[in-house]
Amino acid sequence: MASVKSAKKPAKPKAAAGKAKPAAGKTLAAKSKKPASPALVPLRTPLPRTAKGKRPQYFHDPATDRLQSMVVALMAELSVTRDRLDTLERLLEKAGGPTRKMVESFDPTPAVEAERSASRNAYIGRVMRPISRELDAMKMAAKS
Amino acid sequence: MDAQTQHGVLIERSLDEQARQLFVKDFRSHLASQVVGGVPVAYSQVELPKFIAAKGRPPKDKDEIRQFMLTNPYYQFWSGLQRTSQEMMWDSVIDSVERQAPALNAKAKTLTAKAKKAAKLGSLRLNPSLEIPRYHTAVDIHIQPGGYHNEFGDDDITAGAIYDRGVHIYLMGGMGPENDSLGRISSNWFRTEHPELKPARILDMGCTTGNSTLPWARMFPKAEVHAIDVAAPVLRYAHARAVSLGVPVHYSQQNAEHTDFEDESFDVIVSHIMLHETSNKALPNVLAESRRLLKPGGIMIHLEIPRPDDMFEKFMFDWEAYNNNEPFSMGCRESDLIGLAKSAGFDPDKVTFAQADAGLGSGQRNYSATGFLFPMLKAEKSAPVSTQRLRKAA
Repeated sequence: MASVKSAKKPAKPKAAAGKAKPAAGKTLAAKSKKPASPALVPLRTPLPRTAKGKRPQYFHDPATDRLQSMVVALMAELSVTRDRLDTLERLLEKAGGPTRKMVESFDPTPAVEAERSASRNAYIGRVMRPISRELDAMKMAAKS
Repeated sequence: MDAQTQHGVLIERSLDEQARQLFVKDFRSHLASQVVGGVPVAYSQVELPKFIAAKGRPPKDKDEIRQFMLTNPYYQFWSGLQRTSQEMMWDSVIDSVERQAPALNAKAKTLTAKAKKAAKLGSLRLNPSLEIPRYHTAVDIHIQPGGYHNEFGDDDITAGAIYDRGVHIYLMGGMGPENDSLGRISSNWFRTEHPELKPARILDMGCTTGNSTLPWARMFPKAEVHAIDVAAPVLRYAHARAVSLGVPVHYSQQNAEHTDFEDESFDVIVSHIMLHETSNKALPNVLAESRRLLKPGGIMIHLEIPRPDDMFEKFMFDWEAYNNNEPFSMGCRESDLIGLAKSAGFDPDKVTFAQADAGLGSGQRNYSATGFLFPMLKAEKSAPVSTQRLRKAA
């Protein structure tokens, strides 16, 4: 819970940056004739991903615990991809969309590549979370 | 199909976030309907005969069952998957909450400001100096990362946003579109048992995001409904949610052991699966406080987690205690709630237990194919002077 404790003190500048935003909000609000919305203030810290409290060990070898969780995370990600593909295929079917050749020869721009890289990294982070969680737990144990 | 009711502070989900959340929901349904049923088989067909052959007797209690089941490969695998699904459930929701946190906190602020101008929309009263009890801070309950009370920004509601969506996935939609089945169970039961009572003031203790509070407020629209919790982020969320749904509730940040409400100020006091999140020390305090706050003739209903009689079922329901950061759930399940209510000063003739079926389907029962009955501890405060005050004609 290191992130929670450190949350209390610093990061004033960020909040101030958030408060600078209403200018944009105001123009929008003026257009829609609604009262100004409150400023969008970023969180002081990322939300924690590891719960306080020891994780039980289910198997004789703790590596099995990690692997089991990783397999389920992989299942999830494949399932997410299938949902997305299914969405895409149905939309394409409706619209009489692009051909396989166009898909094959698609040349992503650097911006698209960067987007893909970011989502790929997030994906890796999700499947690897059982390991980062173990690291968090070790750090939390060392702190307390 | 996603059936959760949309309201002003429910998170939006991107295509992938929604797919991830629905995966966890379906995966948990699969564990509940296809996998957990193998645990009693592993017990009765594999481990129990071994135990009897070795000891010449059946196990004497749930703890002895637990000892030998912990090494059963099928139980291990199911347990690991169940834990993993709980972790992935929070993860999948936190992805959405984290991305929208500034907007969510701003939406809640707007709704709160709206309520400040109109008393009929309910209210929110926070107490930043309230001491968060140790049973809340020792571990993150239900392994929700960050717990219910921690704040990660100004006017933060993220814990509430995570909880409200998480609960929907946790019971695979089994609590209904507003996650409110427990509040519907308790309020419907109250109305059936006491059709003559028209409560003027109702208090819901340990309300979290107010899911169980709203059915009471809807059933008794003329009543003044209060709800308390120790955690500020979930209360901010609860208030914004209630305003958005148009149901007036007065939320305040208080510990159910000692509130600042006046003596004899409520006709009905309820809680929904709260007692087992407290402690051995806190439980009698909550019951005594309930009694203090009730008007003579007033009624207390504490709906609790299932309390099966069978030794093996007890072992199964203990899973949450050992694996889902519910340290007191075992102690509470084994405690003599009726005895405790009597010790808190309730008239022994006026304390009873009722059981309510939550109507969960096979894909929504995590630990048992049977035994999903929610017990309700009910007590009426004796009315030595005049019971009639509350018992107005309908």
